[in-house]
Amino acid sequence: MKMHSKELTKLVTRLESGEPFPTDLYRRTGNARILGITGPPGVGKSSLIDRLIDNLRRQHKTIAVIAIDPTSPISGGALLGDRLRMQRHSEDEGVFIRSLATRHHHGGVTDSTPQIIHALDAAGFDIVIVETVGTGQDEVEVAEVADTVVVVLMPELGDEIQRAKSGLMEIADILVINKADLFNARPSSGAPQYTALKWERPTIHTSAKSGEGITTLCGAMDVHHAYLVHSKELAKRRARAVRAEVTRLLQSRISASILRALEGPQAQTILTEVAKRKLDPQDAVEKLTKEILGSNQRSSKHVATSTRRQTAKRRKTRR
Amino acid sequence: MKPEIEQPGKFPFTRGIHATMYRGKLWTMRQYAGFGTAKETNKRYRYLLGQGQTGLSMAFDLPTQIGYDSDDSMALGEVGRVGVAISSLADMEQVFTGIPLDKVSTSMTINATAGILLALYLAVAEKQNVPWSKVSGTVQNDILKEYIARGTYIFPPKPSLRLIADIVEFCAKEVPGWNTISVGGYHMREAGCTAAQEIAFTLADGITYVQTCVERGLNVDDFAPRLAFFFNCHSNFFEEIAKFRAARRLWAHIMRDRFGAKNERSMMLRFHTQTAGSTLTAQQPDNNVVRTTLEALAAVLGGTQSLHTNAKDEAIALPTEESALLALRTQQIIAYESGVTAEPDPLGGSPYIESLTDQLAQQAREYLNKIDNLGGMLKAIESGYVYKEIYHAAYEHQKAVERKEKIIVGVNECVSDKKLKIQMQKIDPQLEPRRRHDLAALRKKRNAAKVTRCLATLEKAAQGTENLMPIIVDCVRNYVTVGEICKVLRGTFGEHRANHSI
Amino acid sequence: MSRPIKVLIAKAGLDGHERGALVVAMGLRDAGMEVVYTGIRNTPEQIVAAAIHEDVDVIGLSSLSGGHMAQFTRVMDLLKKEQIKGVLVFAGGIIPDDDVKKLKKLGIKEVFGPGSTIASIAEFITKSRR
Repeated sequence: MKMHSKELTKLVTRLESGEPFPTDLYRRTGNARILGITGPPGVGKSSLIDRLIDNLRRQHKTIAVIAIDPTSPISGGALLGDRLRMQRHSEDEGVFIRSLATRHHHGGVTDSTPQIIHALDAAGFDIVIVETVGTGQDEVEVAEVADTVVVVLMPELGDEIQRAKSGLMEIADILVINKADLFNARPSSGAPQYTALKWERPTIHTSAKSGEGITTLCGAMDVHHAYLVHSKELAKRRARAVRAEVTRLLQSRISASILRALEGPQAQTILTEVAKRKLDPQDAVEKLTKEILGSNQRSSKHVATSTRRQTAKRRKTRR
Repeated sequence: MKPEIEQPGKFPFTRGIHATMYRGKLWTMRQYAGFGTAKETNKRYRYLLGQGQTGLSMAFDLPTQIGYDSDDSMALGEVGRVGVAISSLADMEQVFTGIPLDKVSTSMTINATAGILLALYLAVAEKQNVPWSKVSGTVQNDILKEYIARGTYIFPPKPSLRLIADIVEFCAKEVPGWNTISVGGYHMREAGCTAAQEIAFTLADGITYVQTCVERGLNVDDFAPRLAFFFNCHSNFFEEIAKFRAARRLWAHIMRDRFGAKNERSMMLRFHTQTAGSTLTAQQPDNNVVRTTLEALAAVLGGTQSLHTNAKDEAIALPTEESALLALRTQQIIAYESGVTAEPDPLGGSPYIESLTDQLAQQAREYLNKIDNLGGMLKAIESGYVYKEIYHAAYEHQKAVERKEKIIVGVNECVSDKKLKIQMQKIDPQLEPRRRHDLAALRKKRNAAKVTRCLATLEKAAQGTENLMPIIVDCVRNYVTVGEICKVLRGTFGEHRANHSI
Repeated sequence: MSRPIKVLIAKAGLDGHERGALVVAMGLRDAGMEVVYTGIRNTPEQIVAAAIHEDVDVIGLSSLSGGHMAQFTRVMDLLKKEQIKGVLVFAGGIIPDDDVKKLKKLGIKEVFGPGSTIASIAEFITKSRR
């Protein structure tokens, strides 16, 4: 089932705003290949994706791209400039491109990225590409959502990038050195190898400008996917992704509960007692934990009901 | 770096490239014009030449600049808007009817399609029986700034530089009076860069072109005397004068020390100036006449070889006949009545001007070093460095204006209540349909077999390394259109795709 | 939860002067909006497709070459055809007064000429969205 463009974009917007993913759609997920593309700013990730789309479309695959850029910590706004390099695909019905701002989430992806990936997956896209900025140790979350992680670098980057690379290198399934035409790059490593037990990470030299190396990269992505399937790594990664998603949702839910609890009158009393040294912080935590867990049970019922109501409403308006 | 005593006409030419400057010969008064049809352009040129303008300057519409014929779907809504639509030799012949090409000098603001427009001009000269050795003019032919500040690129950088070198090489032999590249800082300044950046980015582009031609095997002294530059003249009066002086000093050293030029004429920075369009306001447009006058004066005191003064309505559209005339008169009054032409570099020696010159030269040198460290201007552009510098500067300027740290009379201070309406040149709505009709007729009339042969020859040559100019000239002689030539070249060279990051 | 306003800034037609569009894009970012900038040489079809995919609240069209009537009319026609509702459209650049009236009739809510401030554009957007 392919969702019509406008419906899909509206759903993505709602998910972006923190709405939970519709339950009935979840069982339609798990089919798309999820590809993460990350690397420091300016290496040419978007231009590379622009070229990849050409190749993949020639293979009659449908592609969705989530391009993530950082929200300004000062203004809360963002300049989303990745789409510019992929604009020529805007009218292709087999391509969907959406720009997202991190909205203060650190780690490279956004809070809602897993859910948005589900939406695109459920909509029937063959491949979902998640493009993120990755410079340091922090921005490696893309590995939690993707089956294959491509790290893109440029030759002759400065020292800071070399240091930061170490975090990126740990998550890279495929390493791409882009802008090979600008600099005198060494030839790529040979075709990627793997055994059932071990993946040998290839280094591929590309020029998004000239198109050089793109077919090789596509091939490497396909080979990696084959490796994931044969080695049963895919199931392991997907399990990790599920765990990461549920963990974050839990953390989010419980953080919200904590904040709510701290606003309540009972919390105020407890905190005053601690300040007066009548109670110590550990005791305060014991008492407040009981309150939070209790309130969670109440609120989870509320959320379940509200989701069912929303889903029913959407079913009615859909056709 | 600065020698003890600098003299006009002597290396490093800080004080001017000629010993007597305007005492010997005035700057060329060259007003940019051209719009709508070839016929209207011809009429306006003959008017301006009759009024005392001494050189022609051609503006082309965007489809012509980007290699599309007037009947191409990409040209919709754009034909004849910002300049004249030229799709074939028939159009070019019409523009120059009654204008002998051995008696005028024509500057063409054309970049990606410079080779084709030059070929068209040469074909017109042939038809007038004017030998190419008698033809003089300029093509802007400066693709690097297009990628970052003006946007009329077609092909990627490598084939674009090949075309530029083809033109330089061809003209060195066949059209010795032609200025083959006008390296522009005007547009980058309009896009928002600072005075020091304008110097640095312009000279860095120039360095890239010289480097390309030298790598082609050309001797620097064989073509460098024909390189020209195109600067902005902005509102900070003394800074602009100092800017021109600093640019001359730096270029002289670059040519002699970096490229080993021996001929002094290779070291002279010759330039055309346009007063800054971005300083003109739509509010209280008469103020623009004053702005343009001050800017023109700064350009003259800065030693420009050629000057375009903006008309007061140039902020809104292509100027009317009246306002275009006043812009020309502005230059004429400065030239004939003000007395500033009596001495070359009259402000030279002023402590303020000399210190500003030194400062700007130093700042520009720092940018040039940065660009060298990035691997040259081409890599600096492709890395996004230049783009970021320009548009961040533009944003800072806007913030300064909105915070009233920078005052613009009539806009954020001295505002008047009345809103003034500007008279605009209207473009005939029948223009596009007529162009479509004319092109269809042309394609029927011409020799189709010759056209096919020419395009096949062009394609083969483009895939190789031979100089494309003679082939392009042959194409246009046979009424192959601009769009048809570019379609072949696009197929061979590919198209440049914007990849800016801010 | 109130999410940031999402804006698409696009240049239609062949005009390649980006200063105005970029300055507005950066300004709106600093005013707290999420801005998708799609650069130069967009066709009206590409602009509308982008607006749909990105589910924008606002579209800002920039034109300095005089081709605005043909280009912007087509954008508005396509928005109507795609039944896009609730998107605020404004324009900026060199647009003569007579054309401003025509553009407003098409549904372009405001046209910002030379000298317009980022502050006024940001204010216009936030006020219109209330």
